Amino acid sequence: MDRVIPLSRSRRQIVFAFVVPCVVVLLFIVVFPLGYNLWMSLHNWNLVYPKQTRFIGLQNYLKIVTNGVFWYSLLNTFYYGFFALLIEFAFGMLIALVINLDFPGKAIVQTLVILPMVATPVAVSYVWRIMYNPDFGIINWVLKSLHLPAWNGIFAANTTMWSLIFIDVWQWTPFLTMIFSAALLSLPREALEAADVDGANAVQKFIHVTFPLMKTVVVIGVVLRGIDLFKTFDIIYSLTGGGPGRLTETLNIHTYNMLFTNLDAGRAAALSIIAVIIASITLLQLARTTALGGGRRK
Amino acid sequence: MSGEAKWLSTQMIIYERRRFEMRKIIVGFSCVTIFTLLIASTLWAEGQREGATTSSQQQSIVAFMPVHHFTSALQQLLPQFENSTGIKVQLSTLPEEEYYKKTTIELASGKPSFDVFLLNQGYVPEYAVAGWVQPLEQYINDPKLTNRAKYDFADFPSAALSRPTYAGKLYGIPATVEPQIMFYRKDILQSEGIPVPKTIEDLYNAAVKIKRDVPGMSGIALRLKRGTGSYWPWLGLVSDYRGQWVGRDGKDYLTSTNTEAATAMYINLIKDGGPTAPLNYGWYECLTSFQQGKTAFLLDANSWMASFQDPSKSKVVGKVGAAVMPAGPDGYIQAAGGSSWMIGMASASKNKDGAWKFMEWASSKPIALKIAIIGGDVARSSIWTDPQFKAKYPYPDWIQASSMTTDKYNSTYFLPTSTKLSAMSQIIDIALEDIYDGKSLSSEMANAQQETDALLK
Repeated sequence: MDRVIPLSRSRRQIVFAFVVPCVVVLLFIVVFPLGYNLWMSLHNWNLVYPKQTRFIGLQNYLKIVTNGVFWYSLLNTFYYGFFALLIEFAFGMLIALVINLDFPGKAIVQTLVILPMVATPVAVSYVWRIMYNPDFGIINWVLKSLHLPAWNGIFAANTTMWSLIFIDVWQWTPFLTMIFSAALLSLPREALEAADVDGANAVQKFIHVTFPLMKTVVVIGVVLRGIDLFKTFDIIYSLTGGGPGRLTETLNIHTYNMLFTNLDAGRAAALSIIAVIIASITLLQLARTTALGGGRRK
Repeated sequence: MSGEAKWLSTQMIIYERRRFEMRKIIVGFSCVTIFTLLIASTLWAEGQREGATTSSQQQSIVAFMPVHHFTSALQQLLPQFENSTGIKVQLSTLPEEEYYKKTTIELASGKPSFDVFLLNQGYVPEYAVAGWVQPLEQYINDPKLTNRAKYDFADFPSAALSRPTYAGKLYGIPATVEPQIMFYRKDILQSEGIPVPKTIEDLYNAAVKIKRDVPGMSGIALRLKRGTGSYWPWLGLVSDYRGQWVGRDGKDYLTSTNTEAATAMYINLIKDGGPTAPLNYGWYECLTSFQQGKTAFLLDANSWMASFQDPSKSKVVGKVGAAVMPAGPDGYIQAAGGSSWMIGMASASKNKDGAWKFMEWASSKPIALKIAIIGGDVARSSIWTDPQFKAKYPYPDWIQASSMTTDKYNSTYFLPTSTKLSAMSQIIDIALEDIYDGKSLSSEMANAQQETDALLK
């Protein structure tokens, strides 16, 4: 454990002066809304009948847990998150490794690789919506000119989720690429050279030297991306709205519908509290099982 | 190091440290200042926004409407209102799917950004019970505000007035009275040797034939996209089959034989006679598809005629036929109707007199006539017999189909009078999508009935 160095009084005052505003802001932006949300979730607040709001304790949670749609939306959320994360991880690592090599035009390639992530998410969603459009989208136009059958993927039962995952992968793989790339750059040269001397080939080098040294950063990247995937809303809402049927209705979309269509604010608040709990448990566990937050160090 | 040098370097370190501390304090202080200024300016801007309606009482009102031919017609006529009254109107629009959500949430917040908006007939109970819309009797009956003789309130068809009335109070003025009729391509029917369908079975066969035989065309385009009011034409077909959604007894009948048969026919029309990507088709896409010559039949709002006869946009000018809804299995005819959209006033509006002035002007006889001529939305009965209107739309079959449907085939009650209609219509949207995707109709309707029951409790 690091030694805690006692600070001088003037030092402490300055530290305090900087920390206090930050804590105040956090209280307003995080603690208060979360607390109010929790309070809301214990009432049956319907926006159409605001005067009939009454404290009902955990009844909202009971209604949610006994509702099949909730569990199905949870399944959708994890399906989407798991596969998107897996693919983004694989491609992110691959591209990072490739970018780290030296080749002509490397700067241009680096810029191109980062571009999808930099574009505005909602704009990306709408452009993909137009491209996917079966009547005048460019994807079907290309298929038609190649005399292939039109692809209705975004609305077909077995490809609708994957159409969304594809967009997410396209847009957010650069995020992991950047993180992995930075980690690769900071690897100690000696370890790799030692592996070379021992006669390891590229794959062995990766499995036994590179990847183990990158583990901490990989976990950070995966956790960050995982949180974002759990929160994904814009892609799904703009393209399918949760449809067709409930095939792409994730927990977020379900919560959105609960508030904006059913106008049941109490239950929507309960859903978002459940989302926070699930996200915290899942991702904190992931972070804790690795060299993050004071875990084992070599 | 010599003693002097040591002292000097110590002094320099202290001096550097002090300067460093000084700098940190300055940086910290300026950060806090900037932060405070940001927050203050945001709050000030917010105050300015609210002040815009309160400070200039007679000067401006804000109107919020969905993308619709009524809205575009109204937009063209706005300068007339502004010139004659000096009240400035800020009209903003959104596509229908987003319009509903934005309107509901703004009204629920208690501080809507608009004074006047278009209210959809299905949402009147919801908004009325919540107290978000202003009852209008006091404005209509106030002689200082409304010249009753000139306004001629009786000119609105009673079927249209039943929708904005809830618990005896009137919450909106009809803006569009859109009975559901059948549109068809006269030329395509002629070249394919198909008589004008008189029953839904005939319509189905005709649509399948056209989709199969006419290249580049689908037989029929029906609403399936969620959030665009698919429940409206669906319910028209359901009523045609003597089915029901929610009966007058407050119970829902989604799994009744007739309702299920009608739903099956709705989906089959789309599957076997519809466009290639029907889940993409809201009312706007159906309209455009027909207007661009890509489909031969429609079972939708009569007000679309104007868009079909607009030579600047339409490819089917002069080729459009209209008829009443084809009969259901036992010869019974019924179609969707009512008053789809009405002009409403937000009860939180800070400029109610100005808002009423605008509403009264927009629904007055001369302006309603102009709107009907430009956009095809007929709100008043007298417009059907107006010579100017008849000159612009010399389509006797359309006029007859529209008025017959409004008077005979459109019951004043067909939509559930429920405050949960937005949630219920989403259940229908989802069920239709699922059935189209191949899920079992009976289990989908059973699910939908269960969920609707839970809402109606």
